[in-house]
Amino acid sequence: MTTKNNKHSGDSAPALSPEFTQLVISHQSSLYAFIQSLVPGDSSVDDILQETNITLCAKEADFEKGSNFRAFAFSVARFKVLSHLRDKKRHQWLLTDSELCEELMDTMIQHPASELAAQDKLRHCLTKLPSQQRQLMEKRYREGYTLRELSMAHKRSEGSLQQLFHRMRTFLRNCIEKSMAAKSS
Amino acid sequence: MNSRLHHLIEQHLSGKLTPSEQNELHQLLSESAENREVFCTQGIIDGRLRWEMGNTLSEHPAMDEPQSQASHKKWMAIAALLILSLILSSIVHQSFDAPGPSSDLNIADSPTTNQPIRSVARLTSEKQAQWLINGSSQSLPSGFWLKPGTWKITQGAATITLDSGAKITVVSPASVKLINSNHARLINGTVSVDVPEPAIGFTLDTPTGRVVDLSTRFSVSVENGQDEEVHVLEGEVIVQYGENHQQSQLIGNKSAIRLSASSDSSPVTPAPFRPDSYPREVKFTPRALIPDQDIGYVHWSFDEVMEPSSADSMASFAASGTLTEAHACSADVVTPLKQQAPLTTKGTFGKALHLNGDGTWLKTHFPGVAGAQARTIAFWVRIPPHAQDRQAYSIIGWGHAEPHHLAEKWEIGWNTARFPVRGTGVKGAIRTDFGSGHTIGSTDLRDGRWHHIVSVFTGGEHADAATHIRHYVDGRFEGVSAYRQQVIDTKTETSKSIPAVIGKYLHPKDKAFGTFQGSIDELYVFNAALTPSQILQLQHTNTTPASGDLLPTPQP
Repeated sequence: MTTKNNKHSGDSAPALSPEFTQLVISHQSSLYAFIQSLVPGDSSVDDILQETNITLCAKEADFEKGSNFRAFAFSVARFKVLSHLRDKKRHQWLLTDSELCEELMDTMIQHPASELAAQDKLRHCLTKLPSQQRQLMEKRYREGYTLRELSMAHKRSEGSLQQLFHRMRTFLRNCIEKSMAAKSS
Repeated sequence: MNSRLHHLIEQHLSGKLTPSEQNELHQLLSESAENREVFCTQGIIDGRLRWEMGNTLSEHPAMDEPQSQASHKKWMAIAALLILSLILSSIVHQSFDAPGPSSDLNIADSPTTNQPIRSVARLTSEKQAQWLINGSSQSLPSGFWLKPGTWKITQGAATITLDSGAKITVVSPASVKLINSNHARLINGTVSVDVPEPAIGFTLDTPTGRVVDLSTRFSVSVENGQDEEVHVLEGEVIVQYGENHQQSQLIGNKSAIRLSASSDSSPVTPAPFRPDSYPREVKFTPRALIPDQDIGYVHWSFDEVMEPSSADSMASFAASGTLTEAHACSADVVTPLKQQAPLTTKGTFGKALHLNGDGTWLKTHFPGVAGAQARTIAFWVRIPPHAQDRQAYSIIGWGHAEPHHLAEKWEIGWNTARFPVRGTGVKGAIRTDFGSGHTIGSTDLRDGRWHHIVSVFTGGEHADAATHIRHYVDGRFEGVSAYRQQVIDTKTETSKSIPAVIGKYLHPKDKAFGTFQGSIDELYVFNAALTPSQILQLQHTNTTPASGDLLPTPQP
């Protein structure tokens, strides 16, 4: 019987390595976006992220240095989201078709916007939106206006605002992907 | 359609989907990969925007919430993480690795970052064998799973069975590099190789050449600085040699050749045939049975329809086997139909169970194999070409499958590749699932013919659905077309655990799957991992190995 790297044997308590902590921190936005997209409108998103972090830290010994941390982190987040869906009444529709649920999770994990660099790219891409659209984004995502409130304030139908936000998010996705492709080339 | 999908996604992102909208969205996502892509794009960008701008509660009237407080949440999360790193420093993590190949030699097939490492062989018998592992001499028990890499035997003798079924018997001193489930390299020493028909094509590299087997027994010796010898004990082999192995020679039954690296003119010359000078397979000594250790199997032959054992059933099939209570695990027919179609058909050995995918299935009292214990599920199956996707599950399944619960169940069916994107595997291939993990074979079984299928889970601590499941189709080791990782811990003793069911998807309220269509015969569940030889025996003779011959999966 051998201990892995012999780094966790004995009575002395090992601290998390700075490299591992950095990996966890750098993946926070990607994990958050993944969790948020599956349990939106749910105040437990932060809790699920936190539970994911706890499990990741507890499993540092299982993580092989140099291997794919992203896959490792998302496998834990996937498990935590499923556990949450199991325990809560909301979003149960996702669980009535387990294969679809797994497929959606896979698609999200492999999505270009889930890449580590995507948050920086999003920040950059937001500046490329026309100023009126950027203000709408700010109102909705920073200040918390609902679509109905925005509809009244801007005298536009909710339906047209839904379509506008849909188009803006699609624009951001394309912009993120282009930025990452440009960087890699 | 698009605007409707956009509306439903917006409702989802706002947390406001009504039940009817949930059904509608489910339908739209099920029917189109494009719709799923749109759903995922919108969800992830929405999540990133919320992270970026700090407002975590969707549609929350946060106008009175100061911006600094909103964005403070994410930094709280990170701060908590850093604090956590300090708290967790008081927890001792222990992670044990199985002994690996000798570290003083190159390890074959070093894994890429995304490739899980599967073991490729098993130590099926040994006689006072000692192995050089991480610089020290160690013994390994029979049943030990061997990963790719170089294995150096320093004392005794051993027989290694590759997953393909090819057996390599090594006598010390010798070094063998395991490359994959049907390919090895003899670095030095002498080995004998026994290749059953399903493993034809087994390849043994040597420093000078390569031996490709044509279903036979042969021996090879490699001594440092000396010529290599290949002796064919039975059958034929092809010896390849020269630059890039471009030259080859067929070596016939009971003959031998010498392969010389130094000779330019004729590297292959005849050699005297000395069959007795090569190692014989090390016979496995059946282990003593431990009274408390319930190792064995349960078997449904489906030969005879009996009176049901419960009032809500109309018929039953007897169970037999060596596991305690195996005889009490009869399979009762459950059907919504008033008039049941014939339940049996001609099978491979006697009669077989036939299910029409019409809602009929079988329930048993067999709790299934629990936790991460090794297991083998073997059966004959005949799936009609027209079988529908919703009739793919299950041939057998058990475990914790509460609705809306993370599945902790063991389940075997055929792969529907319902979402035909990268990584979904071959449609119609055998598929073993646990939770969100699985391993999928590579042969489409929907051809209306009988196939012998075996799903082996090697078991052990940290065993994973992606790396520890192997399939055999008609005795042949099955390639993997797709896998997904998930550590295995089958729950059989929770209040929501379901004993083994045959012919029905275990998830009680799943909308995608119904009951199985096809014929099933000679269904066995062992709580041990069978060897390829035992699998062939089961396929050809329908006889099981004795309990003492079932190799345990040693715990590290």
